[in-house]
Amino acid sequence: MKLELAQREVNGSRNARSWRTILLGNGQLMAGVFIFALVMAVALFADGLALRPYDAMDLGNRLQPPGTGGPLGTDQFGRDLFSRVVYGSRIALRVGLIVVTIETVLGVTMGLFAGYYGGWVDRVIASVTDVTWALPPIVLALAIVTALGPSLNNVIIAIALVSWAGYARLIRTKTQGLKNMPFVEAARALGESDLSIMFRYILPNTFGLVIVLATLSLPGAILSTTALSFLGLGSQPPAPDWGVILNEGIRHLYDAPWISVFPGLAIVCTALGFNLLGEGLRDVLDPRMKV
Amino acid sequence: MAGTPNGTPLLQVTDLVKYFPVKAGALQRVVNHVRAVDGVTFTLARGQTLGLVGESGCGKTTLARVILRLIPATSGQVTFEGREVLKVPADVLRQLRREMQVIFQDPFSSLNPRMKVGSIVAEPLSIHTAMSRTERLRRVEELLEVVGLAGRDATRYPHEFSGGQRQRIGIARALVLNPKLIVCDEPVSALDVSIQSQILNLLNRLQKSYGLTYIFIAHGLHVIKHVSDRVAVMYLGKLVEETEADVLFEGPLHPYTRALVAAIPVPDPAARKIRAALQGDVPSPINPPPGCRFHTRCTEALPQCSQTEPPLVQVSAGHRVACHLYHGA
Repeated sequence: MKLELAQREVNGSRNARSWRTILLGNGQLMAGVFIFALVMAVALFADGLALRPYDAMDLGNRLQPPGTGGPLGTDQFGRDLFSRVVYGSRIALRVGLIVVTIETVLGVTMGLFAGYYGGWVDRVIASVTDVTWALPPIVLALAIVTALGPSLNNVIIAIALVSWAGYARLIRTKTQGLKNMPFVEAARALGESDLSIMFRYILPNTFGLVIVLATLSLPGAILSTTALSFLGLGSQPPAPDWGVILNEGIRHLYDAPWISVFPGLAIVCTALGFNLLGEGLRDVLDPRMKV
Repeated sequence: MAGTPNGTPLLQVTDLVKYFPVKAGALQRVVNHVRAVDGVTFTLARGQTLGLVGESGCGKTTLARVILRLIPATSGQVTFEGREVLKVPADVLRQLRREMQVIFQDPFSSLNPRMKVGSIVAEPLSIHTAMSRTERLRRVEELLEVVGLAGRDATRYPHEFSGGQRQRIGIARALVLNPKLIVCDEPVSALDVSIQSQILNLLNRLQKSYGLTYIFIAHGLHVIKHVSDRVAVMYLGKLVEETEADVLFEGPLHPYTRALVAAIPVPDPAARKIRAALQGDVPSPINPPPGCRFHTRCTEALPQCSQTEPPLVQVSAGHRVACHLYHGA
């Protein structure tokens, strides 16, 4: 009796302690969480952080280097670069999250149906993904944006439409493997419905993959949208989109490199942060890691 | 054959056939079939255990999956309490799923690694009953204790348990809806020998207290011996012998059964038994040998064995054999 109580105590405290050890002991995760929190904080408190409105021009202070003309210098219209990059985080995060949400939902659902049902459902979905896959994504996105007209929302739609195929393919393969697992067969023997099997048995076992995919494609989504903005198809000029700022800096790359360098660094940091976060989460979320 | 103590049999399987198509070539045309189950007939009385034995690849598991309608049959009939399992519409099938359950071979892959034990065992209740959460939890804890685990184990994940404990979880899940029939598909072959007997004893105890009927699949007779009332021996998709367990172990008739019985380990180092060890491998079920499927490995094959297939006929009360050695002439 005493022994059993002691055992229970050991088990209980081990679980609580192991959770903390796992979370804190994962350096990748902690670094990712830190960068993610930083970017989120910047986006949330942009109004407080920014020194001036992102579109306030001061033509007397054009192309000032960092230090003299504000923390990160000024651009060709004398706008404060720090404030523009800070506000840019809002656009980047919003666009990235929306794109990733759309492509995850679309790709995962397609992949689940294709992998679970097989047959003609699989053939139809597989050929659509193959066609999407075969075209260069930026070219396809360019075509879609040109057809819909240049705007940030159309860029979001275009990027989501060209990038869900990767999810669909991977989830399809994963589903094909999982649907033959005995626990799925057990679920069918219990009379579980197809939808329930797909979304409650198979889907949770793909979470590790989905999280990695989502974090890996979030920087990709930010990069693609900034690329389209850079090309003039996404956000339109006064907007502090990192792609727009990069584009504006191109003409002053030799005399005022900071205009392009800082939004570029912001993109790199955000991308790195999400990658570390995703890798860390994958390790922690796998229940088998908990022992 | 139908003479069972409780009147109508619980389960009747008639001429059950399952062929898997073999596709080849660019057009994926069906070039051949794997004859996994090829005309199996048997009846199972209430409260009894039918041991189904045979080498790996002889179609035992396929037979079980077809009976449970987890995969469609090619032809044949399965009657469970007067209902045609293979033909009933979806809503009746759902009802049947409550009454026919299955325990799987591999306790590691048959439990969803993302669900807690409590949810795994409660799942059948949420599908088939209108029980509230607390009622389900109470039933789950009760069942976990019945199978020898603790009620508080409901909050843990499958990976925290050993193989034997996981198999107990699988048994609790199969038991939670009070089924009438449980198909045990090699439930102990993935476990240590010391754990095997614990699980077999548990299954025997549960059968007595809940009046369960089992189909118990195993690839060796030594496991079957502990649990079965009747034994059916399967070879390459066909039954070759079926009889009472005692009769089978005392006087096996079919040469294949005799080889299997001789292969049961004897716990006596002095007993130097001459073993009629089986030679060779099981032939391919894609092109099974003509005539008796066992004649390629049989030590007593007669000339007609390679030409005509021996039917499964009754040689004495409740004892059926498919072998030319016992067919009159």
